[in-house]
Amino acid sequence: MILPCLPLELVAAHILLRLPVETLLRFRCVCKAWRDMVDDASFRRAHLRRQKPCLLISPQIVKTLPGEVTTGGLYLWVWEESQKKEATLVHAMSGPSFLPRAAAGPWEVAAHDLAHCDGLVLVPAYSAVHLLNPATRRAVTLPPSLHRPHVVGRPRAIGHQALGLGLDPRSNAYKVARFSYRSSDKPSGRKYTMGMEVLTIRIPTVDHHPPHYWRETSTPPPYPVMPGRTATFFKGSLFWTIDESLFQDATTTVAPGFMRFRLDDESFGVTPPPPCRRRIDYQATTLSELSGELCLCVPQEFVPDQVDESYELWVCHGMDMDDEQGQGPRWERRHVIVGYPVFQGLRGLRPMAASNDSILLYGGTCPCLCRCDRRTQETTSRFYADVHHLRYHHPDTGTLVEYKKNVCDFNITPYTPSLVPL
Amino acid sequence: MATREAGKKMIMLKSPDGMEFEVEEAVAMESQTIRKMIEDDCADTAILIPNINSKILSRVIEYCNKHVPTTGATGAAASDTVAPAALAEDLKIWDAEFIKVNRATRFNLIQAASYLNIKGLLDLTSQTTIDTISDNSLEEIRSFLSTKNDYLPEEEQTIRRENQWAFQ
Repeated sequence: MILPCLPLELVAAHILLRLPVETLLRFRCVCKAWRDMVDDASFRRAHLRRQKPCLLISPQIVKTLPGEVTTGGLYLWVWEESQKKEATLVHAMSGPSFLPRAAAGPWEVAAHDLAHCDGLVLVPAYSAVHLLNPATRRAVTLPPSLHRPHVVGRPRAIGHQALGLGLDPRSNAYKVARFSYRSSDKPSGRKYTMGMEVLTIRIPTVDHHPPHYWRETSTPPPYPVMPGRTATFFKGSLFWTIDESLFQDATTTVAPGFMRFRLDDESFGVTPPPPCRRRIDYQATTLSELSGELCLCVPQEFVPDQVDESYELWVCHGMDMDDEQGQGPRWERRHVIVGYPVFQGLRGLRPMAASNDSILLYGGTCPCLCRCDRRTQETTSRFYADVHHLRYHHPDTGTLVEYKKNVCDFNITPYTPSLVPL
Repeated sequence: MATREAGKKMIMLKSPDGMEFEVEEAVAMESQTIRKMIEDDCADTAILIPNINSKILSRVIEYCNKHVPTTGATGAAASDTVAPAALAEDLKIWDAEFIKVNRATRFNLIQAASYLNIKGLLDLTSQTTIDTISDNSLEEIRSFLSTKNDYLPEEEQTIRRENQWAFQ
């Protein structure tokens, strides 16, 4: 009698590809062919493409000690199931997990953002920088920087570094890049040196865990960037926000755009900003990748003869690696979002995630998530979800936690569960 | 041969065991593979569907007949009176009945849906299989899919230890 069976390629394409990471890690034990399939790089990429984008939320909780902030960890929130007001703990953290802030309050920006790429999450914590894959529960602690940190600039600028995480399309390796200020003369903070270190993530095998190390780029970064602002990864490059207040040359006051760092040849460049009517307040803008497009959210201050203060969402075209000979970046204004306040010099709405019909944006100044309808060209934002009302599920203990009172901010990053090894 | 009957274009599908099925073109085009053949003009005579026996092919046609969008003269009356949500609900119930088949038939349906590229049928058959195996033990999964465990006991222990948490 012939037992009913399915050819492996059909099992892979129609059964395994549809399963969540946890189940696949279990099913690696079924047989060698299934293990090899789950470990296969092209299966991994196909699996990643099928995953629903979610958010990772880390509520920043004020401790009694002034200026110290802690968090319970990273919580997964499937925002498309919008009726679900519950986030689930995927990585627990305790102690002062992010870099301490000068003063805790809703007006302060979090000391360092999280970064995400293909299921890997970079957590710049107080003591060290960690890289996690919450879905496979793997974590590595990156070695410390080769350089002593120096805090520069305004008293409000916290931290001395700005990290980024991305995939080098040439070697198919994930890389972490760390911009840092190296020396400065206090109190002016106007004289400093800066540098960039890169770390290539090496994939461990059963019996070998290759060491991670930082190496300096051959040329230093050409512009000062905002400390604590994670770089945006898009098509093989990392983009940092330039800090205009830190220009050393007094004659230069306007940033030429965003600092671009190619992960393949590790060279620097500049991507010009969109042609906005008014001067861009870089401190208030956020560059993001949404559904495969590079987007910039720019606040437009209130002007008496205009309707209202608003945000413009611009999309950048022509950013492919091979497009250097082409026309270069071209910006298109896609949406105008009104209904969220603009504060000069403070970070405004940050695009977080997009589905077919809407874009989700996070506003840190009065913490809430807004949804912008994609089908209409110009649209109003609708109050979407007050992140303060999220409840936090701890599956190990089966408890539901509410942090309501002491949360001063949220560290949020888009996230897609993946099998990417660590 | 493609013929005309009551104003509808018909397509002849042949299974390898010699059976012939005459179906409406719209029904056959639920399959992206057949749609491409028709659009590329490779379907003027009967289309031979390899590897899918008449028993499975007739079930696939039954599925496509049910799922073909109800537009045009015959469909209009139904969709005017019945709300789309109710129609979708009816289809779900029908699907649940349709997929109550034995393991061999279900695997054959997955193969047929994959070859003919019928997304709805593929989703239905795959998801039903996933629902069956997701919470099963590894031994039950191996037996369900007739897969042989080719690990040595110590090898299996090592693989299991790599992600022990996923087994709890």
